[in-house]
Amino acid sequence: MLEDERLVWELKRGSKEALRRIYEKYKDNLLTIAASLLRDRCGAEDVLHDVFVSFAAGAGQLYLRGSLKNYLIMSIVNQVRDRFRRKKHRAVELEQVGPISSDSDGPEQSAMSSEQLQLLTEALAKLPLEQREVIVLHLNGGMKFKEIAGMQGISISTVQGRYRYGLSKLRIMLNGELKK
Amino acid sequence: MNPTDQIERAIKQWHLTTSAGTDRRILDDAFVALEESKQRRSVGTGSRILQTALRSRMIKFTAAAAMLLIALTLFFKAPAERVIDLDQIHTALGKMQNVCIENFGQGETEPLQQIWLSRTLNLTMFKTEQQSVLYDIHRQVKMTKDSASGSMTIDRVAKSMLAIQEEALEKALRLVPFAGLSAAPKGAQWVPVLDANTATTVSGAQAYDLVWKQIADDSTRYLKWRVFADVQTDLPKRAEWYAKFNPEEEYRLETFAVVTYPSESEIRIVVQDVFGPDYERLSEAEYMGTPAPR
Repeated sequence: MLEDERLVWELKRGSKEALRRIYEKYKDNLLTIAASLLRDRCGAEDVLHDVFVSFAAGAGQLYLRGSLKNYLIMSIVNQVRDRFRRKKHRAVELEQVGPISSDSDGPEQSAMSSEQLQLLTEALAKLPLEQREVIVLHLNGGMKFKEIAGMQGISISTVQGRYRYGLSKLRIMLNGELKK
Repeated sequence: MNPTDQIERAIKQWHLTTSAGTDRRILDDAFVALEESKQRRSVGTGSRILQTALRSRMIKFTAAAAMLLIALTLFFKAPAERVIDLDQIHTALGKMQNVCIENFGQGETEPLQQIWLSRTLNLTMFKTEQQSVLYDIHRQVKMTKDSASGSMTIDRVAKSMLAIQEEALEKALRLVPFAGLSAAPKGAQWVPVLDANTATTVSGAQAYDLVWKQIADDSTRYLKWRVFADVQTDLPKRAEWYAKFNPEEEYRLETFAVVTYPSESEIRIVVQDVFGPDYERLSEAEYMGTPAPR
Protein backbone atom coordinates (compact mmCIF):
# COMPACT_ATOMS: atom_id res chain seq x y z
CA MET A 1 0.00 0.00 0.00
CA LEU A 2 2.78 2.35 0.98
CA GLU A 3 4.62 1.39 -2.17
CA ASP A 4 1.57 2.34 -4.22
CA GLU A 5 1.33 5.73 -2.55
CA ARG A 6 4.97 6.31 -3.30
CA LEU A 7 4.49 5.26 -6.93
CA VAL A 8 1.53 7.62 -7.30
CA TRP A 9 3.54 10.43 -5.77
CA GLU A 10 6.35 9.82 -8.27
CA LEU A 11 3.91 9.46 -11.14
CA LYS A 12 2.37 12.82 -10.30
CA ARG A 13 5.82 14.27 -10.75
CA GLY A 14 5.99 12.73 -14.22
CA SER A 15 8.00 9.57 -13.54
CA LYS A 16 7.81 7.08 -16.40
CA GLU A 17 9.42 4.44 -14.22
CA ALA A 18 6.60 4.77 -11.70
CA LEU A 19 4.05 4.39 -14.49
CA ARG A 20 5.86 1.29 -15.75
CA ARG A 21 5.93 -0.25 -12.27
CA ILE A 22 2.24 0.40 -11.71
CA TYR A 23 1.48 -1.19 -15.07
CA GLU A 24 3.67 -4.24 -14.41
CA LYS A 25 2.12 -4.70 -11.00
CA TYR A 26 -1.54 -4.67 -12.01
CA LYS A 27 -1.75 -5.43 -15.73
CA ASP A 28 -2.48 -9.17 -15.51
CA ASN A 29 -5.12 -8.81 -12.84
CA LEU A 30 -6.80 -5.96 -14.72
CA LEU A 31 -6.68 -7.88 -17.99
CA THR A 32 -8.27 -10.90 -16.34
CA ILE A 33 -11.06 -8.74 -14.90
CA ALA A 34 -11.68 -7.01 -18.23
CA ALA A 35 -11.70 -10.31 -20.11
CA SER A 36 -14.03 -11.89 -17.56
CA LEU A 37 -16.50 -9.04 -17.96
CA LEU A 38 -16.20 -8.68 -21.74
CA ARG A 39 -15.44 -12.32 -22.62
CA ASP A 40 -13.23 -11.02 -25.40
CA ARG A 41 -9.47 -11.09 -25.03
CA CYS A 42 -8.79 -8.50 -27.75
CA GLY A 43 -11.46 -6.18 -26.39
CA ALA A 44 -10.02 -6.64 -22.89
CA GLU A 45 -6.56 -5.60 -24.10
CA ASP A 46 -8.09 -2.51 -25.70
CA VAL A 47 -9.80 -1.68 -22.42
CA LEU A 48 -6.51 -2.11 -20.55
CA HIS A 49 -4.85 0.15 -23.11
CA ASP A 50 -7.48 2.87 -22.81
CA VAL A 51 -7.42 2.76 -19.02
CA PHE A 52 -3.65 3.16 -18.78
CA VAL A 53 -3.47 5.88 -21.42
CA SER A 54 -6.13 7.95 -19.63
CA PHE A 55 -4.50 7.14 -16.28
CA ALA A 56 -1.21 8.55 -17.61
CA ALA A 57 -2.88 11.54 -19.22
CA GLY A 58 -4.56 12.51 -15.95
CA ALA A 59 -1.63 11.65 -13.70
CA GLY A 60 -0.98 15.28 -12.77
CA GLN A 61 -4.46 15.74 -11.34
CA LEU A 62 -4.71 12.26 -9.84
CA TYR A 63 -6.27 12.22 -6.38
CA LEU A 64 -6.96 8.86 -4.81
CA ARG A 65 -9.45 8.47 -2.02
CA GLY A 66 -8.97 4.72 -1.82
CA SER A 67 -6.35 2.28 -2.99
CA LEU A 68 -4.64 2.51 -6.35
CA LYS A 69 -5.67 -1.04 -7.18
CA ASN A 70 -9.35 -0.33 -6.61
CA TYR A 71 -9.09 2.88 -8.62
CA LEU A 72 -7.67 0.97 -11.58
CA ILE A 73 -10.24 -1.81 -11.25
CA MET A 74 -13.03 0.77 -11.21
CA SER A 75 -11.54 2.38 -14.33
CA ILE A 76 -11.64 -1.01 -16.03
CA VAL A 77 -15.26 -1.55 -14.98
CA ASN A 78 -16.26 1.89 -16.25
CA GLN A 79 -14.55 1.27 -19.59
CA VAL A 80 -16.30 -2.07 -19.94
CA ARG A 81 -19.67 -0.48 -19.15
CA ASP A 82 -18.98 2.25 -21.73
CA ARG A 83 -18.23 -0.39 -24.31
CA PHE A 84 -21.48 -2.18 -23.60
CA ARG A 85 -23.36 1.09 -23.86
CA ARG A 86 -21.61 2.29 -27.00
CA LYS A 87 -21.88 -0.88 -29.02
CA LYS A 88 -25.22 -1.97 -27.62
CA HIS A 89 -23.25 -5.01 -26.75
CA ARG A 90 -25.90 -6.27 -24.43
CA ALA A 91 -28.25 -7.06 -27.32
CA VAL A 92 -25.81 -9.38 -29.01
CA GLU A 93 -23.65 -10.53 -26.15
CA LEU A 94 -25.05 -14.01 -25.91
CA GLU A 95 -24.32 -14.64 -29.58
CA GLN A 96 -20.73 -13.54 -29.09
CA VAL A 97 -20.02 -15.68 -26.12
CA GLY A 98 -16.87 -17.71 -26.40
CA PRO A 99 -14.11 -18.87 -24.12
CA ILE A 100 -11.89 -15.91 -23.34
CA SER A 101 -8.75 -17.83 -24.20
CA SER A 102 -9.94 -19.12 -27.55
CA ASP A 103 -8.96 -16.03 -29.51
CA SER A 104 -5.71 -15.50 -27.71
CA ASP A 105 -2.14 -16.37 -28.46
CA GLY A 106 -1.08 -15.12 -25.06
CA PRO A 107 0.48 -17.49 -22.53
CA GLU A 108 -2.51 -17.84 -20.22
CA GLN A 109 -1.79 -19.88 -17.22
CA SER A 110 -4.84 -21.56 -15.92
CA ALA A 111 -5.21 -24.52 -13.67
CA MET A 112 -8.44 -25.33 -15.46
CA SER A 113 -8.79 -27.43 -18.55
CA SER A 114 -9.89 -25.58 -21.68
CA GLU A 115 -13.22 -27.44 -21.56
CA GLN A 116 -13.90 -26.25 -18.02
CA LEU A 117 -12.83 -22.76 -18.92
CA GLN A 118 -15.25 -22.70 -21.83
CA LEU A 119 -18.10 -23.94 -19.67
CA LEU A 120 -17.42 -21.38 -16.99
CA THR A 121 -17.01 -18.55 -19.50
CA GLU A 122 -20.29 -19.35 -21.17
CA ALA A 123 -22.11 -19.65 -17.87
CA LEU A 124 -20.65 -16.39 -16.54
CA ALA A 125 -21.60 -14.62 -19.76
CA LYS A 126 -25.24 -15.52 -19.24
CA LEU A 127 -25.37 -13.67 -15.94
CA PRO A 128 -26.64 -10.08 -15.86
CA LEU A 129 -23.71 -7.64 -15.99
CA GLU A 130 -24.27 -6.40 -12.42
CA GLN A 131 -24.04 -9.94 -11.00
CA ARG A 132 -21.06 -10.74 -13.18
CA GLU A 133 -19.32 -7.56 -12.01
CA VAL A 134 -19.74 -8.41 -8.35
CA ILE A 135 -18.48 -11.97 -8.81
CA VAL A 136 -15.48 -10.94 -10.91
CA LEU A 137 -14.53 -7.99 -8.69
CA HIS A 138 -14.74 -10.15 -5.56
CA LEU A 139 -13.03 -13.27 -6.88
CA ASN A 140 -10.62 -11.91 -9.51
CA GLY A 141 -10.15 -8.41 -8.14
CA GLY A 142 -9.91 -9.53 -4.51
CA MET A 143 -12.25 -6.74 -3.47
CA LYS A 144 -14.33 -6.92 -0.32
CA PHE A 145 -18.11 -6.59 -0.57
CA LYS A 146 -17.86 -3.33 1.33
CA GLU A 147 -15.41 -1.95 -1.22
CA ILE A 148 -17.58 -3.03 -4.15
CA ALA A 149 -20.60 -1.43 -2.50
CA GLY A 150 -18.70 1.83 -2.02
CA MET A 151 -17.45 1.73 -5.58
CA GLN A 152 -20.83 1.04 -7.14
CA GLY A 153 -22.80 3.24 -4.78
CA ILE A 154 -25.07 0.44 -3.58
CA SER A 155 -25.62 -1.22 -0.21
CA ILE A 156 -23.51 -4.14 1.00
CA SER A 157 -26.60 -6.33 1.23
CA THR A 158 -27.35 -5.65 -2.45
CA VAL A 159 -23.79 -6.63 -3.35
CA GLN A 160 -24.03 -9.79 -1.27
CA GLY A 161 -27.39 -10.59 -2.86
CA ARG A 162 -26.06 -10.17 -6.38
CA TYR A 163 -23.08 -12.35 -5.52
CA ARG A 164 -25.24 -15.06 -3.98
CA TYR A 165 -27.80 -15.08 -6.83
CA GLY A 166 -25.02 -15.03 -9.42
CA LEU A 167 -23.21 -17.99 -7.90
CA SER A 168 -26.45 -19.86 -7.48
CA LYS A 169 -27.25 -19.39 -11.20
CA LEU A 170 -23.76 -20.52 -12.14
CA ARG A 171 -24.17 -23.61 -10.02
CA ILE A 172 -27.46 -24.47 -11.74
CA MET A 173 -26.06 -23.79 -15.21
CA LEU A 174 -22.92 -25.81 -14.63
CA ASN A 175 -24.73 -28.54 -12.77
CA GLY A 176 -21.59 -30.08 -11.32
CA GLU A 177 -19.61 -29.83 -14.58
CA LEU A 178 -16.58 -28.39 -12.79
CA LYS A 179 -15.97 -31.53 -10.78
CA LYS A 180 -12.58 -32.97 -11.49
CA MET B 1 -16.09 -29.45 -1.54
CA ASN B 2 -19.51 -28.17 -2.64
CA PRO B 3 -20.21 -26.97 -6.21
CA THR B 4 -20.31 -23.30 -5.16
CA ASP B 5 -16.85 -23.58 -3.65
CA GLN B 6 -15.63 -25.20 -6.86
CA ILE B 7 -17.04 -22.37 -8.96
CA GLU B 8 -15.49 -19.72 -6.71
CA ARG B 9 -12.14 -21.50 -6.82
CA ALA B 10 -12.32 -21.90 -10.60
CA ILE B 11 -13.00 -18.18 -11.15
CA LYS B 12 -10.20 -17.25 -8.74
CA GLN B 13 -7.82 -19.42 -10.74
CA TRP B 14 -8.47 -17.44 -13.88
CA HIS B 15 -5.29 -15.67 -14.75
CA LEU B 16 -4.45 -14.01 -18.03
CA THR B 17 -1.08 -12.56 -18.91
CA THR B 18 -0.45 -9.77 -21.35
CA SER B 19 1.87 -10.44 -24.27
CA ALA B 20 5.12 -8.52 -24.74
CA GLY B 21 3.63 -6.80 -27.78
CA THR B 22 0.62 -5.61 -25.81
CA ASP B 23 2.86 -4.34 -23.01
CA ARG B 24 4.94 -2.38 -25.49
CA ARG B 25 1.91 -0.88 -27.22
CA ILE B 26 0.21 0.16 -23.98
CA LEU B 27 3.34 1.54 -22.31
CA ASP B 28 4.45 3.45 -25.42
CA ASP B 29 1.06 5.14 -25.69
CA ALA B 30 0.86 5.74 -21.93
CA PHE B 31 4.31 7.37 -21.92
CA VAL B 32 3.26 9.68 -24.75
CA ALA B 33 0.10 10.59 -22.80
CA LEU B 34 2.19 11.26 -19.69
CA GLU B 35 4.56 13.53 -21.62
CA GLU B 36 1.69 15.44 -23.19
CA SER B 37 0.10 15.80 -19.79
CA LYS B 38 3.31 17.27 -18.39
CA GLN B 39 3.51 19.74 -21.26
CA ARG B 40 -0.12 20.73 -20.87
CA ARG B 41 0.37 21.39 -17.18
CA SER B 42 3.41 23.51 -17.87
CA VAL B 43 1.36 25.84 -20.04
CA GLY B 44 -0.19 27.09 -16.83
CA THR B 45 -3.60 27.86 -15.59
CA GLY B 46 -4.07 30.86 -17.84
CA SER B 47 -5.01 28.79 -20.86
CA ARG B 48 -7.39 26.67 -18.79
CA ILE B 49 -9.25 29.73 -17.61
CA LEU B 50 -9.40 30.93 -21.19
CA GLN B 51 -10.73 27.58 -22.40
CA THR B 52 -13.45 27.64 -19.77
CA ALA B 53 -14.41 31.14 -20.74
CA LEU B 54 -14.55 30.22 -24.41
CA ARG B 55 -17.25 27.65 -23.71
CA SER B 56 -19.75 30.43 -23.57
CA ARG B 57 -20.84 31.79 -26.96
CA MET B 58 -21.41 35.23 -25.56
CA ILE B 59 -17.99 35.33 -24.04
CA LYS B 60 -16.47 33.96 -27.24
CA PHE B 61 -17.35 37.10 -29.11
CA THR B 62 -16.11 39.37 -26.34
CA ALA B 63 -12.95 37.31 -25.98
CA ALA B 64 -12.28 37.47 -29.70
CA ALA B 65 -12.60 41.26 -29.61
CA ALA B 66 -10.38 41.46 -26.54
CA MET B 67 -7.79 39.17 -28.13
CA LEU B 68 -7.75 41.37 -31.21
CA LEU B 69 -7.23 44.43 -29.06
CA ILE B 70 -4.44 42.74 -27.14
CA ALA B 71 -2.81 41.54 -30.35
CA LEU B 72 -2.86 45.07 -31.73
CA THR B 73 -1.42 46.43 -28.50
CA LEU B 74 1.34 43.82 -28.55
CA PHE B 75 2.07 44.64 -32.15
CA PHE B 76 2.64 48.30 -31.50
CA LYS B 77 4.06 48.17 -28.03
CA ALA B 78 6.21 45.71 -26.09
CA PRO B 79 4.22 44.00 -23.28
CA ALA B 80 4.74 45.15 -19.74
CA GLU B 81 5.39 41.87 -17.84
CA ARG B 82 4.72 41.67 -14.15
CA VAL B 83 8.05 41.78 -12.39
CA ILE B 84 8.36 39.62 -9.30
CA ASP B 85 10.68 41.08 -6.71
CA LEU B 86 12.82 39.32 -4.13
CA ASP B 87 10.51 40.23 -1.25
CA GLN B 88 7.56 38.58 -2.99
CA ILE B 89 9.51 35.34 -3.51
CA HIS B 90 10.65 35.33 0.11
CA THR B 91 7.12 36.00 1.33
CA ALA B 92 5.57 33.31 -0.90
CA LEU B 93 8.08 30.73 0.30
CA GLY B 94 7.49 31.75 3.89
CA LYS B 95 3.80 30.92 3.56
CA MET B 96 4.37 27.38 2.34
CA GLN B 97 3.73 24.65 4.88
CA ASN B 98 5.63 21.89 3.12
CA VAL B 99 8.71 22.19 0.95
CA CYS B 100 11.08 19.74 -0.73
CA ILE B 101 14.51 21.01 -1.79
CA GLU B 102 16.81 18.85 -3.88
CA ASN B 103 20.39 20.14 -3.99
CA PHE B 104 22.59 19.24 -6.95
CA GLY B 105 26.28 19.76 -7.61
CA GLN B 106 27.31 21.46 -10.84
CA GLY B 107 26.78 19.03 -13.72
CA GLU B 108 25.09 16.42 -11.51
CA THR B 109 21.86 14.72 -12.46
CA GLU B 110 21.25 13.01 -9.12
CA PRO B 111 20.71 15.18 -6.02
CA LEU B 112 23.53 15.33 -3.49
CA GLN B 113 21.00 16.03 -0.77
CA GLN B 114 17.24 16.07 -0.45
CA ILE B 115 15.57 18.13 2.24
CA TRP B 116 11.97 17.90 3.33
CA LEU B 117 10.50 20.57 5.55
CA SER B 118 7.04 20.31 6.98
CA ARG B 119 5.57 22.94 9.25
CA THR B 120 2.35 21.00 9.65
CA LEU B 121 4.20 17.85 10.72
CA ASN B 122 6.84 19.93 12.50
CA LEU B 123 9.79 18.02 11.11
CA THR B 124 12.80 18.32 8.86
CA MET B 125 14.40 15.41 7.03
CA PHE B 126 17.74 15.34 5.25
CA LYS B 127 18.64 12.53 2.91
CA THR B 128 21.94 11.82 1.19
CA GLU B 129 23.24 8.70 -0.49
CA GLN B 130 24.87 7.65 2.78
CA GLN B 131 22.26 8.42 5.39
CA SER B 132 18.95 9.97 6.27
CA VAL B 133 18.40 12.19 9.29
CA LEU B 134 15.00 13.14 10.64
CA TYR B 135 14.45 15.88 13.20
CA ASP B 136 11.03 15.39 14.74
CA ILE B 137 10.75 18.73 16.48
CA HIS B 138 7.47 17.94 18.17
CA ARG B 139 8.85 14.78 19.84
CA GLN B 140 12.30 16.35 20.27
CA VAL B 141 14.08 13.39 18.70
CA LYS B 142 16.60 12.84 15.97
CA MET B 143 16.45 9.62 13.97
CA THR B 144 19.37 8.57 11.81
CA LYS B 145 19.36 5.74 9.31
CA ASP B 146 22.48 4.44 7.60
CA SER B 147 21.67 3.65 3.97
CA ALA B 148 24.27 0.91 3.54
CA SER B 149 23.63 -1.11 6.70
CA GLY B 150 20.02 -0.10 7.28
CA SER B 151 20.83 0.47 10.97
CA MET B 152 18.85 3.15 12.74
CA THR B 153 19.58 5.25 15.82
CA ILE B 154 17.27 7.46 17.85
CA ASP B 155 18.50 10.29 20.07
CA ARG B 156 16.89 12.99 22.09
CA VAL B 157 17.91 16.33 20.62
CA ALA B 158 19.27 19.28 22.56
CA LYS B 159 17.04 22.33 22.63
CA SER B 160 19.69 24.37 20.82
CA MET B 161 19.61 21.95 17.88
CA LEU B 162 15.84 21.97 17.85
CA ALA B 163 15.93 25.75 17.69
CA ILE B 164 18.17 25.50 14.63
CA GLN B 165 15.73 23.13 12.95
CA GLU B 166 12.81 25.38 13.80
CA GLU B 167 14.70 28.26 12.26
CA ALA B 168 15.36 26.11 9.20
CA LEU B 169 11.65 25.54 8.88
CA GLU B 170 11.02 29.26 9.09
CA LYS B 171 13.67 30.23 6.60
CA ALA B 172 13.34 27.21 4.28
CA LEU B 173 17.04 26.58 4.75
CA ARG B 174 18.06 29.92 3.31
CA LEU B 175 16.88 28.99 -0.13
CA VAL B 176 16.33 32.70 -0.65
CA PRO B 177 19.58 34.37 0.42
CA PHE B 178 17.96 37.60 1.67
CA ALA B 179 14.50 38.52 2.84
CA GLY B 180 14.44 41.30 0.28
CA LEU B 181 16.66 43.63 -1.68
CA SER B 182 16.82 45.99 1.28
CA ALA B 183 18.32 43.16 3.39
CA ALA B 184 20.96 42.35 0.77
CA PRO B 185 24.47 43.91 0.86
CA LYS B 186 24.79 47.44 -0.42
CA GLY B 187 25.02 47.56 -4.19
CA ALA B 188 23.15 44.28 -4.75
CA GLN B 189 21.10 44.22 -7.92
CA TRP B 190 17.92 42.39 -8.81
CA VAL B 191 17.38 41.96 -12.55
CA PRO B 192 15.12 39.83 -14.73
CA VAL B 193 16.95 37.45 -17.05
CA LEU B 194 16.17 38.52 -20.59
CA ASP B 195 18.00 35.75 -22.43
CA ALA B 196 15.17 33.75 -23.98
CA ASN B 197 16.91 30.37 -23.61
CA THR B 198 17.54 30.86 -19.91
CA ALA B 199 14.19 32.47 -19.19
CA THR B 200 12.30 29.43 -20.50
CA THR B 201 14.46 26.78 -18.80
CA VAL B 202 11.73 26.14 -16.27
CA SER B 203 8.20 26.15 -17.64
CA GLY B 204 5.77 28.58 -16.09
CA ALA B 205 8.57 30.47 -14.39
CA GLN B 206 10.39 33.76 -14.90
CA ALA B 207 14.14 33.91 -14.20
CA TYR B 208 15.76 36.64 -12.10
CA ASP B 209 19.35 37.28 -11.02
CA LEU B 210 20.40 38.68 -7.69
CA VAL B 211 24.04 39.79 -7.87
CA TRP B 212 26.13 41.08 -4.98
CA LYS B 213 29.67 41.23 -3.62
CA GLN B 214 30.91 39.35 -0.58
CA ILE B 215 33.91 41.16 0.84
CA ALA B 216 36.16 39.11 3.14
CA ASP B 217 39.41 40.20 4.86
CA ASP B 218 41.64 39.99 1.83
CA SER B 219 39.41 39.00 -1.07
CA THR B 220 36.17 39.82 -2.77
CA ARG B 221 33.79 37.19 -4.06
CA TYR B 222 31.22 38.05 -6.68
CA LEU B 223 28.05 36.07 -6.18
CA LYS B 224 24.98 35.52 -8.27
CA TRP B 225 21.77 33.82 -7.23
CA ARG B 226 19.46 32.95 -10.11
CA VAL B 227 15.92 32.00 -9.30
CA PHE B 228 13.13 30.68 -11.49
CA ALA B 229 9.98 31.97 -9.86
CA ASP B 230 6.52 30.65 -10.72
CA VAL B 231 4.71 33.42 -12.57
CA GLN B 232 1.42 32.49 -10.87
CA THR B 233 2.48 31.91 -7.28
CA ASP B 234 5.87 33.71 -7.01
CA LEU B 235 7.29 30.50 -5.50
CA PRO B 236 10.82 29.48 -6.45
CA LYS B 237 10.90 26.36 -8.62
CA ARG B 238 14.64 26.29 -9.15
CA ALA B 239 17.57 28.25 -7.72
CA GLU B 240 21.16 28.39 -8.95
CA TRP B 241 24.24 29.67 -7.10
CA TYR B 242 27.12 31.18 -9.10
CA ALA B 243 30.42 32.72 -8.02
CA LYS B 244 33.58 34.29 -9.40
CA PHE B 245 36.62 35.97 -7.90
CA ASN B 246 37.43 38.34 -10.73
CA PRO B 247 34.86 40.83 -12.01
CA GLU B 248 36.08 40.23 -15.57
CA GLU B 249 35.38 36.49 -15.45
CA GLU B 250 32.16 34.69 -16.26
CA TYR B 251 30.15 33.45 -13.30
CA ARG B 252 30.62 29.74 -12.61
CA LEU B 253 27.67 27.61 -11.55
CA GLU B 254 28.46 25.96 -8.20
CA THR B 255 25.24 24.35 -7.09
CA PHE B 256 21.58 24.39 -7.93
CA ALA B 257 18.37 23.33 -6.24
CA VAL B 258 15.05 22.09 -7.54
CA VAL B 259 12.16 23.04 -5.28
CA THR B 260 8.78 21.38 -5.08
CA TYR B 261 5.85 21.76 -2.72
CA PRO B 262 4.50 18.37 -1.68
CA SER B 263 1.44 17.85 0.49
CA GLU B 264 1.68 16.82 4.14
CA SER B 265 0.66 13.26 3.27
CA GLU B 266 3.31 13.07 0.58
CA ILE B 267 5.99 14.09 3.09
CA ARG B 268 4.63 11.55 5.55
CA ILE B 269 4.99 8.87 2.86
CA VAL B 270 8.60 9.86 2.21
CA VAL B 271 9.42 9.75 5.93
CA GLN B 272 7.72 6.41 6.37
CA ASP B 273 9.49 5.14 3.29
CA VAL B 274 12.83 5.81 4.98
CA PHE B 275 12.10 5.13 8.64
CA GLY B 276 9.32 2.60 8.22
CA PRO B 277 5.60 2.80 8.91
CA ASP B 278 6.25 2.65 12.65
CA TYR B 279 8.48 5.70 12.80
CA GLU B 280 6.10 7.59 15.07
CA ARG B 281 5.99 4.71 17.54
CA LEU B 282 9.77 4.31 17.43
CA SER B 283 10.30 7.88 18.47
CA GLU B 284 8.49 7.35 21.76
CA ALA B 285 10.34 7.38 25.07
CA GLU B 286 10.82 3.63 25.43
CA TYR B 287 12.96 3.55 22.32
CA MET B 288 15.30 6.38 23.35
CA GLY B 289 18.97 5.49 23.10
CA THR B 290 20.50 3.46 20.33
CA PRO B 291 20.26 1.26 18.41
CA ALA B 292 16.62 1.22 17.44
CA PRO B 293 14.76 -2.07 17.26
CA ARG B 294 14.65 -3.55 13.75
